[in-house]
Amino acid sequence: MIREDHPLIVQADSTVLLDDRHIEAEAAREQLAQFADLTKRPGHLHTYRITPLSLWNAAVSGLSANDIIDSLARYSSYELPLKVTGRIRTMMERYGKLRLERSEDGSLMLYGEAELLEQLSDQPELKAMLLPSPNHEPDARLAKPEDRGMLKQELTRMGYPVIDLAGYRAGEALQVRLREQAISEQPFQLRDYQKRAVDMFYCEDRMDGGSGVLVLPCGAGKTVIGIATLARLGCDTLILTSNVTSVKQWKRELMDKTTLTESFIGEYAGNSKQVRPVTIATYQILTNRRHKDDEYAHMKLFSERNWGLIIYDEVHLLPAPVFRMTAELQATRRLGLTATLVREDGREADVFSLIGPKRFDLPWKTLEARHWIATVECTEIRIPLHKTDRDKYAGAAAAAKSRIASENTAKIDAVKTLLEKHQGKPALVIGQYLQQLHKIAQRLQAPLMTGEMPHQERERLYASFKAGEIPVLVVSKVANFAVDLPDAAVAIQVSGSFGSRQEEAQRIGRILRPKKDDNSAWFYTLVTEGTKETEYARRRQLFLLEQGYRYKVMNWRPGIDRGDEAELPLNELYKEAGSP
Amino acid sequence: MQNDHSSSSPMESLSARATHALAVAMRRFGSLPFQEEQLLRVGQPAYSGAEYRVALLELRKAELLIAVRRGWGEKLYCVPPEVYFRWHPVLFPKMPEPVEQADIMYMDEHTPCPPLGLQLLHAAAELVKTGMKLTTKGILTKRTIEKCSQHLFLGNEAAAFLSFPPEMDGYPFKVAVMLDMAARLNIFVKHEKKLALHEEAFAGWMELPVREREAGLIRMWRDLYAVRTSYSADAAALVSRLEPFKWYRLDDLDHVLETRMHGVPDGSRQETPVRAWCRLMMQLGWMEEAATHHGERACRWLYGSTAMEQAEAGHTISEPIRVTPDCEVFVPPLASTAVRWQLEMMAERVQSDVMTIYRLNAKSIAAACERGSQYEELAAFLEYASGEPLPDTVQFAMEGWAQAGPAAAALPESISSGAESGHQLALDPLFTDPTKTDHLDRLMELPTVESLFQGLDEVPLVWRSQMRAYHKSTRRELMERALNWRVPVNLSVMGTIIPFVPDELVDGMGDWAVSGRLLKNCGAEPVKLKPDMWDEMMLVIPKLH
Repeated sequence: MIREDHPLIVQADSTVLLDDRHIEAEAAREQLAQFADLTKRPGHLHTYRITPLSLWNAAVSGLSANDIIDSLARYSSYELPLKVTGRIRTMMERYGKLRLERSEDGSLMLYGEAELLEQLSDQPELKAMLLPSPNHEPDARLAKPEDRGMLKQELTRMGYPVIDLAGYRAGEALQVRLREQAISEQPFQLRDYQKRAVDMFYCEDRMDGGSGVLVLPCGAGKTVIGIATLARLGCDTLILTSNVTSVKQWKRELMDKTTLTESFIGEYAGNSKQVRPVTIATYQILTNRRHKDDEYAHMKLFSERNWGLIIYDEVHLLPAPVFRMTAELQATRRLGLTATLVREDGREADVFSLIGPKRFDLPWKTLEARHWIATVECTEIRIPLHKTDRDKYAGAAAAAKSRIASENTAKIDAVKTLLEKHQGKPALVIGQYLQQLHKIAQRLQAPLMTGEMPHQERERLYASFKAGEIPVLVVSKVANFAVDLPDAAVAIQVSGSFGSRQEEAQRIGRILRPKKDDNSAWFYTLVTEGTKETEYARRRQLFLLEQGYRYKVMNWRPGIDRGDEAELPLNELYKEAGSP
Repeated sequence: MQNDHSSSSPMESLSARATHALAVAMRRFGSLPFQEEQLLRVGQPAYSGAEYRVALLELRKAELLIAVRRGWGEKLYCVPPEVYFRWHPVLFPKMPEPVEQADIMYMDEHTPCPPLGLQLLHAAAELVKTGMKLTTKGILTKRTIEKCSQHLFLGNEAAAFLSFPPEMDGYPFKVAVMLDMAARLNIFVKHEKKLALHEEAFAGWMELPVREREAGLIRMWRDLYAVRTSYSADAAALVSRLEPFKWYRLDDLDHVLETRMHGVPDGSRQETPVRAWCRLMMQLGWMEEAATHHGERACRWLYGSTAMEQAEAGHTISEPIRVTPDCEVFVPPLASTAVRWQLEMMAERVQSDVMTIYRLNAKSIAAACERGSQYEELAAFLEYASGEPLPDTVQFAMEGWAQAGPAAAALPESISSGAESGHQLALDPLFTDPTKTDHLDRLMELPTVESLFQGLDEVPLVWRSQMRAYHKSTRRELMERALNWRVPVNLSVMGTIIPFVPDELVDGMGDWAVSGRLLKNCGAEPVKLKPDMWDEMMLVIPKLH
């Protein structure tokens, strides 16, 4: 085994270790991001994993097995394990081996090599779904149209992705186009990457287009891309999103940027159950039922109109029952929008087979370089636990430990000092625990926005914040998804879910929109030193690191044991982690 | 190529006869002791027995062969292992061509194993952790044996291939081999009713750079274990000459060996010696297997067996480990053995791959403290081995775990050469070495050629110095002498001299005949001659080269 000086070490189990301090690390990371998922980033050794899905997504984007092997070999310290190159070749070769097509008489056919089809037809899970073709061709099998989703799901699970060329129904035609001048009087034009994302989804020249996932960071205008897709297809569209606030935002954007009027847009959430040519619903209402044995009554929405397109906003949050429903809707175009393909429940394969492969991916750093989003400085500040809490922490049960660490009272001082540093910049303080947030709001004399707050009151607070009348807004996890806060420049996270990557990504998204003056924004995450919270923080940061962001880690050093107020200037209050 | 020495010049100093005899001996007996009669039986018809006997003498003189005598007077010859492996490439120079890397693809069945050095290290660590107490039968406990086995990848089929017993002293084969090697490396000693590490010897072994450590073990396997049968020695010698990191088809290797393996007694073997040896090398983590695009199996060395190859690899310096804030420790392939040992003693190994990954956790740190380590020492070691300060989280966690663990320090199960050395006993190797002849009387004195032919002085000198025509009865007398001494005779037939090796006198119908081999054009033609079928004759007494 001969060692060369490069940043990667490729393990035989297809994990890849990246030495973040190596001079070639950035270049290697850029390559890796195309075909591997970041799974862990403790310290300077980052762990990526090459999975069948990451490889198939790479195949969709046009990479070949040789491209991937060459990239790995170029940056690897040791010769690539044969098992890894073998696996890459095998998995990449499998993409494209199976195709779903419509025959001339409209039946659904699965095409592939005779031997493979024979082998697959023998699998108990597939036996009932794969029938002999009418003319008994060895390289074709007949499938029932209603099995289209399940078949793809099962084949993907077995390691054989299917290229779905069976086409889509057009749906009910809808007269809609994008405005050149938004109603809000802002000039409106698609940005080049937004146009490209729509093109990549639509794939006019390729039959396998029309379903898939667009991965774009918050601030990149996912809603606008969704609307542009709708306008391009000109058909009845069902939009599924994560919460009521987001429903309203979609509606607002549709009315602002398209020729659709309110009578064409239905809200299907909360008390409103409007089914109109464009209907916006929440995942929650679709999966709502009184008893666990009841049917999902609102799932009928999928068949209430002849939808030509379904948009899955925040596709990484798609709940299991909606997956099951989606399996039956494979003849309808499906657009997934997300900032991350990583699902906390590990069902990435279902997104791949049922919504579609990744069609477009735009790293946040690219957007930042082009000033489409703000330049964000991320800092993790480690705050010691007061001596009395330290004892409490040591004796507490695991769950209680997290809470004690999250609600470290010393965080309030840090928040105050950070806000002073960024005085004049609109700031959000985001947290998980209401008790903690109430205390902070009280101390900062800032309004607190929670899930309990009526929508109208929320809207009013947003408006005041946007107008600059409120400089600081304390928000609960309600701010995680699809809340439009255009002018926030500082976000201070005081507590969060145990290591949810999507949450961190969404929270940072609150401050990403381009800023008028210096286009700078700051994200702080406050964690209690020496507790599990630092570990959770590391997990939460994974997605952003994958996107090329860096976290500065600082130790907060006020006279906490003395119970003093921090009076030193900020730059003396925290030092680079690791320095004495 | 893994040639220990250049061996072309010694060949020139040997007669063709001696070279041939050495090749026959190595091919059929490897490095195992053999009798003169056995060699003569397997020798080629083109050579007479006397020629082999003189060749043996020549080989002894050249110190390529040793002769020993068993208690009851039986004389044995043996090609010492070092001679065997030095002369193998000289006598059998044919080698297969390597396969291009581009023709190689991964084979599902191949499971990579850690190199033997690491297997031994992991097993030794398990012994220390599980306990090295001996039962009343004087062996390790069943639990220890089982735990230890988990770190060793040697298959049982290797026992049959190398003519090992499937079990030894109550130990399964792979554990027995591990203990045998440990005894030969002197890293374990017997101390009262338990085994213990010999600290100095173990530390010395751990100080070896990774490649040297593995190269030493490869040589140990070749020189000690491969030589247990002639066919395994032949396969090992051939395979050890393959260029490291280059791929070779197993079929090609088989073919090279087959050309000289005709008549191997055990024709029922399922696997060829080359394949069996290569599989063994894979189980010991030194070779890797793959397939060509045509589906042929291929293998390659991942480690070299000589110092020269280590130098070529250019990496004798240990690589630093990496400690990450989530308490994982990443150990690169060329990290020092001593560092790995320390980690075995304080962390849980979670993955053995290109990078070995350890996890520091409450249990492992508490156990390390129980074995006598202090938090400060453990932290200092990690900082030393990684060359950088420990992440805060690791420091914090380790300190907490160490405090929670038992404070009392138990002594580790190791013996230094100091105070307790009086009670320690060296651990004996478990297996006897079939090539070893130290216990027999070494025959140092070389006989003269003449002494090989008893009664040489009694026959007229002219019988062995001139072609002459003799009476039928004298012809028979000459033939009888030739048969007795196993020497050839030269026969003159119509002016042409033909060498003839007699095998047997045949009497019948008041006459006699002699069956034997006429030596023509490097071949031997079996014939039966009557005494009137040649004109002149003489005995040919081989001379020393």
